[in-house]
Amino acid sequence: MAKEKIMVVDDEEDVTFLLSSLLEFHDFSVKTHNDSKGVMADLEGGVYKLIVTDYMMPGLDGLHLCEHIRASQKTKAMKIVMLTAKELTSQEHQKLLELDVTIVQKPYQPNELVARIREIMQR
Amino acid sequence: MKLKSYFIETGFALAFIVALYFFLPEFKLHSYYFWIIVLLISSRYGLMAGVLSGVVCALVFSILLYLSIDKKALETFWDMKYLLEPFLFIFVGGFLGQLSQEKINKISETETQAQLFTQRVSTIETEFSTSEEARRELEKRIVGQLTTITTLYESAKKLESFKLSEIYFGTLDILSEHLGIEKCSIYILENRLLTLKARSEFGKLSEGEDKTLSKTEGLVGIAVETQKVVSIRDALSSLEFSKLKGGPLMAGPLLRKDGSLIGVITIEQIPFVRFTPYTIKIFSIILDWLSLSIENATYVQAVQSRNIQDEILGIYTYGYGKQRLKEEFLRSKKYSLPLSLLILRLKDFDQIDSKKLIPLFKSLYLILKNNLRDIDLISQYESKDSLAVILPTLQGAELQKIKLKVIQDIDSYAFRPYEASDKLLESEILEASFKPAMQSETDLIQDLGAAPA
Repeated sequence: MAKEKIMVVDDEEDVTFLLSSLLEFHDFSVKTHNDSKGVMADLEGGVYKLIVTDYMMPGLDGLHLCEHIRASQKTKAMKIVMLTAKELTSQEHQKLLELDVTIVQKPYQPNELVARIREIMQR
Repeated sequence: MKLKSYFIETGFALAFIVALYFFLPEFKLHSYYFWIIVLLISSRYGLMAGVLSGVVCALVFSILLYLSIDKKALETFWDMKYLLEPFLFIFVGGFLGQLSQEKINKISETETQAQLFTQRVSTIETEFSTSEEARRELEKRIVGQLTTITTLYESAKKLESFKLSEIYFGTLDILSEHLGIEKCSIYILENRLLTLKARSEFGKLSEGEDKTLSKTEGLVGIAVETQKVVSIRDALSSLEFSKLKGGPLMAGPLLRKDGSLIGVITIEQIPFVRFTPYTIKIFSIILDWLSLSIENATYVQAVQSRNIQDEILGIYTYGYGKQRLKEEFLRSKKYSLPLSLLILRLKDFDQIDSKKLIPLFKSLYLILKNNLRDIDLISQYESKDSLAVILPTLQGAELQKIKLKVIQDIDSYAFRPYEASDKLLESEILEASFKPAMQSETDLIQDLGAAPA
């Protein structure tokens, strides 16, 4: 059975490695990016079912990345999981909900994150 | 041959009849004696024989008839009744001979054709046998070359290793398999003495015993001094036989690029037919090859020993970890500071999928790192299935807290690294903490006790 493809975006290499390793050990196919450059092009050209992105990143942050994803015809239906260590303002929270983004607060339990991703994938 | 045969046979038969006629008074002349001769000879030997036997029989019969009839009746001899039978001998002999001749010709023709066929078959058989032999030889050579290349490639791969023992064995393999050398040894220069590192006896490889050679004596001495392969034949011109007796038959130096001595290969036994200039040439090439491999391996080992971090995982090396543990232990001992050592050991290590090994170790390293302080050090451990963590200034409850958190985090990742099994990763964490009574870091390591993860 073909593995489902997930993209992981985080500016910290250790985090992307751990996250991709976690997902790969749970039978997902993972592609990582350590900044938002090239993410959109990759998403539009690929067959990703879900993207896991950090909120705070240099350059294009997670919120703006989500806006770009929803604005593109090719990626607008993609499922998005946002990881954040930041206390989100109600406006940010509202905006993310409008963009149909699943928010996961850091620190998270890896197995819980995997369970959440599986649940989102099945929707 | 046939002419002679029918001539002789006719002659004999007629001579017999004539003899009977003259020496046996009761013998009565009858034409059928002659008919027998004419019929047999013509049917057996063909036209010429038939005509000849007919003519001869007609003559003899006529003569005998002439002699046998009453002189009074001689006038009647020329009657048709006396002339008819001789004429019939010739006619029947010719006619039957002709019929027989056709048959003989056909048989002869068939025999010629059969002979030609036999010759052709024989030629084809010879050609086939030659081609078959050529094919077998060609196949043998192709298989031989393929085997040689395959085994040479297999042996050569060992020389690409950075492990010296593998390089030594690879070289001895090549010498034994490709040059047919029965006994040979590799000596490496250590503390001014050539120390035996590996030897091959009839293809059986073994590690070196505690045996040394002088680099200045005998055949080895000449090889080291002249920096080239020396055989017992060359050495006999400059050394007495008694000094070479019992020593190797051939020796070649292993040299670095700068010409300094690495070691020596000695050949103690080689089949006489292999003791050729070709073998010496190939032996020289193998010496160069081995010298380069040893130099590269030694260089890599030196660089690796200077590296403090594993290039792939980013974890500190075991050598560096050991050194740091020693330093931290001395500090703890001197200033009575707490110090702890944790060993994270993976269970069923040999069942872990090799493709998952690096991601697993790196993930474990990052999990550990996320739970440790900046002053803590994660390194490789003596056995490949473990990681070591040195925690200076920490022991007791704080240590237990960290240990518990690490265990929980590892569990929460639910790693399934085992090959052919969906089993979760099983690990354990061994711990030891500094005690004033301990004399060295070895005591700390020996104090490691198992704690279930």
